[in-house]
Amino acid sequence: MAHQEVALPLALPSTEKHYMTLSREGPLFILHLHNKDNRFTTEVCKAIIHALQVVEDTFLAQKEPTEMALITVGDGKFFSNGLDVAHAREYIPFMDSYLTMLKKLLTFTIPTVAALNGHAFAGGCMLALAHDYRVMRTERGFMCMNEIDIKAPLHPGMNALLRYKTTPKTLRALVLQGYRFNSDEALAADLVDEICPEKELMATAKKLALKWAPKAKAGIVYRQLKEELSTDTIRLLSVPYNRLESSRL
Amino acid sequence: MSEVSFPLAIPSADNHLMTLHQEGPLFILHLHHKDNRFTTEFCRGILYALQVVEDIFNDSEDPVDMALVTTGEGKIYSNGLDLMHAVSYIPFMETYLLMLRRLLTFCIPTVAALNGHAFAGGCLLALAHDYRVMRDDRGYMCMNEIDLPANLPPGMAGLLRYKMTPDTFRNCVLQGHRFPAKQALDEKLVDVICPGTEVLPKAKELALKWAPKAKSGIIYRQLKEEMYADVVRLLSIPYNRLAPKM
Repeated sequence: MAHQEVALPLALPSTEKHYMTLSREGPLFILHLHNKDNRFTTEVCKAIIHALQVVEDTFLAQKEPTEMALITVGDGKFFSNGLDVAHAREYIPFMDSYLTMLKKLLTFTIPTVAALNGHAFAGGCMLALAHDYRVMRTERGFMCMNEIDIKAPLHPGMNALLRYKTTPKTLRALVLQGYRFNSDEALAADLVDEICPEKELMATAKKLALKWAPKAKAGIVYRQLKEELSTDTIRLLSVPYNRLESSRL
Repeated sequence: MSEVSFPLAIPSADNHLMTLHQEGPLFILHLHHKDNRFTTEFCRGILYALQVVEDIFNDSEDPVDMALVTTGEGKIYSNGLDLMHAVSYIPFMETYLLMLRRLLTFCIPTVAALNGHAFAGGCLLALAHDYRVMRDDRGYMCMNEIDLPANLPPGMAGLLRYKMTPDTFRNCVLQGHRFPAKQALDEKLVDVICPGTEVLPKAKELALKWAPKAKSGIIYRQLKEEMYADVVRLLSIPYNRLAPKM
């Protein structure tokens, strides 16, 4: 498949339906999610997957691998508030897209940094944890897995991702308590790598991304290493998600 | 979900690699692009067709009889992977394996109408269906990787292992044996064999016979996911090749 040049910045899914924007600054790709509280629907997940594919294709089209990294950031008070629960309940194939998105991000081909501009709840917390690195603003916003409080179970792959990226005590607080980690607590619990004031967030995230971008010169090996590290998580994220609907289907 | 109208040209009317038809409870996916080799685009076309059918299935108030039949064109069902594309575009295998996985655990009964050769990746496509009808006078089922030579990623080997008896599996993979219809029937690779002109009608007949099982709703897929749990897992293992440069 010949690499087709995509013009950046790229509005996704489309200019009429503009939920997120993919742009480029030198070696850095920036995916800016700006659709209200950035909840996941099938459409949103597919757009993120599309953005990842554009970046991956650019990476692969090079003659020699160069420095590259991806930063994801939300908008306003929200990084992401998680799954659009109504949509998830009514459209059975949704979870497939969501889990695929997590899997692709988790093993993405270049270093990834999540810039937590605000709340990262439930599915949004997992999106953050699926990145290699996290920078979180201070003063406002929490990382939280509130499934316990909304009485929702966690798919095996979602559990595996948490297990893979957090220490046992933090995992227990996240999952069994629905604990809301502010930036200081998130840093102390190793949920994030750096914290900073809101106005310094993008600069700090870019600095961290530029620091690790040279690892992309490993070429396909960067991804292969991540796939081996997270092999159990990938396997579990691939377990089909089904819910027994009480009525009909 | 958006309404589609049949017949549906996929990926598009100007780039018409396959057509999805609806005939009562049956969906017919007709692959008709040269020798139906898999590229990323071709696989995505099939994935899209499956999604269209699945959405219709999910949309019905109560589950009804439904089944999917796939067929190829002319002398060939499918000749397998487009190898040039596979080696030049690294993300391709992911899409191909995903397509196999989706078909293997598809939410309604599936029948492959083997109008002709099913080689390598095309043989796997056939085996990923619940049932197979094969033309009795021409064409082979064959896994010729041994002769290319090429390896079999975990999911592809796993799919074969689960859908064949041990001796057939060995002969298929280690010998690259070409199974003509009679032998394919004897060794249980296919369910029905018949003259070429009857392949599609017999496939539809078989599909209509099992279509009522779709009334089990989401259970049909869940049962297949449990039956083939190991294959699903294996098909999900990332496939990478150490390319010389990247």
